[in-house]
Amino acid sequence: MKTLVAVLLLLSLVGCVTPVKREFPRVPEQLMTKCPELLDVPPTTKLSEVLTVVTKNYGQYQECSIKVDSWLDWYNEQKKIFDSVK
Amino acid sequence: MWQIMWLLSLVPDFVYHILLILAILAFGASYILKMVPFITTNAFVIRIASALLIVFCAWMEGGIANEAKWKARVAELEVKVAKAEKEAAEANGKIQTVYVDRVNTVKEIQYVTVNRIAKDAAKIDKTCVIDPEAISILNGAAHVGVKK
Repeated sequence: MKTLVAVLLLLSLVGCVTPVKREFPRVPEQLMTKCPELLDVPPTTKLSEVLTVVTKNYGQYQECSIKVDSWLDWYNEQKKIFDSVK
Repeated sequence: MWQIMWLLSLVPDFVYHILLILAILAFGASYILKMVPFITTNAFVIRIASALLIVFCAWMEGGIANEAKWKARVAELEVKVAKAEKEAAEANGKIQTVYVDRVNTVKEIQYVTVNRIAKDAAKIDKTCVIDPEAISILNGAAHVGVKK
């Protein structure tokens, strides 16, 4: 009886195979990093120093915005490709 | 039940083809070959056994045909999946290139702007003095909604 149960268990495991395996699409490495925090303006009375930090923060925002755009493109492209397999 | 089917599927397909042919021949022989003593004496048993074998083999033939259909479908899907994976990699390459180009452009413009500010610092700072309160407000605004 124990042997029969063991054989049946083994057989039930043998059948658990997915015939067509699909890999989850890879994401470009650059998109896997978080957006950095905005820079603080150091204590100063000079407008030029403030402007420099503001410019750098604008740049960070632009980079982050490009990253979000790229994620949207990635999702839309990958979904289109995924849906084409039927 | 499927375990039994799985065991039966281990038997090569040609065995069922041969068995089916033999069963049909045996069934026919039980009616035609009456001159053979063995067949005459066991005709009823041969008929029942061959009829059962025909039903079983016909059922297995159906299973084999069905499995062949699914195998073809799996092969077709595997080709499609391989093509999709290739397309996904190509799409990733394009997205990566566009991303890098756009970020480089932003960095170049930022570099030019920061240099321009440094160059004109004396002129900019001459007419404007920043109150420390303004910096505190600006820094506070920069961190609104930041995840802690």
